Amino acid sequence: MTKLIVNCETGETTLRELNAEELAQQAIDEAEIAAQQADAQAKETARAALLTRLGITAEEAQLLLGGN
Amino acid sequence: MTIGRLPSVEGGIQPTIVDAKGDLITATAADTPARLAVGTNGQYLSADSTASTGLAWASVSAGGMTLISETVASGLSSLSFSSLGSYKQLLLVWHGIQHNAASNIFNIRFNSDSGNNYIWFNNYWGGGHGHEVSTNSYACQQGMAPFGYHTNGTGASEVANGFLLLDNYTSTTKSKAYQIQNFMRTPTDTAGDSRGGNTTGYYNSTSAITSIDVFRLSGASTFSNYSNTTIRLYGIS
Repeated sequence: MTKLIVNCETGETTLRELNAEELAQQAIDEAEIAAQQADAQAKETARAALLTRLGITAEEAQLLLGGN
Repeated sequence: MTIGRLPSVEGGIQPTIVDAKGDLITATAADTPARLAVGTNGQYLSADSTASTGLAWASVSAGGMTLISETVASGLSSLSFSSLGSYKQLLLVWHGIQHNAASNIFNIRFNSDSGNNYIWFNNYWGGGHGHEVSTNSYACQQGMAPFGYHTNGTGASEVANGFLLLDNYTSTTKSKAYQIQNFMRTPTDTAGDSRGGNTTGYYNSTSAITSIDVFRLSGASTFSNYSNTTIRLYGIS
């Protein structure tokens, strides 16, 4: 995994592999975004299940709540 | 007596004090006349208490925008702009960013800071529409993914484009406002991931920003520029 560093004062560019710290941060970011996506998916699943239980569509639920 | 020359009487200024076209007669102190040579074309005369005559020729500030760097990304996991100079603002413009696989998110941070120091509001459209707000994000933007999300097509239009405007980035006493506007299009345009948006936010730190970092938030792909496209960083004076 390569990182390009552009020194804007000298114009010098350095292409190198990600270091251990950057790789560790990448793993943290990956875990964070996966947790967010899982949370969003869980909410969506719960919403769909609730609509089914109520026997109404998403549009009808929106009407019920006074949304546009 | 030489013509054009004052007789040597007390209080007179001898014409020999001037030597060349444009010379000015000034003073370095009370009763102490001095010559100030003309400046260069386009310069203006400015008060300068540090100069012996209290005056100095100065150049009009160039102002405007300076192209600091132009980069063509090729198979990168990360891109960092460092040694950013001392401008009033920075403008980063990217165009034609493509990923080599789906399900990847490339985002932006400052100083490689992954702390919850980014506060922003984001309006978006396409793939749904609405807004996101974050008071403690770990990146400049989130759902909009400035450098692309699912942007793994091969055509000229299947890319991520956008710009980042960053103000007062050298300050060591103020937080830094920024604005991002971006658009991306997926290969099939069916996954709800072709979208555009704009984000207004600020970096909640008084540390000077010394690097702008494009990094992969999720996935395993790299990003590249489509042919005839680049990533340009401008300094605004």
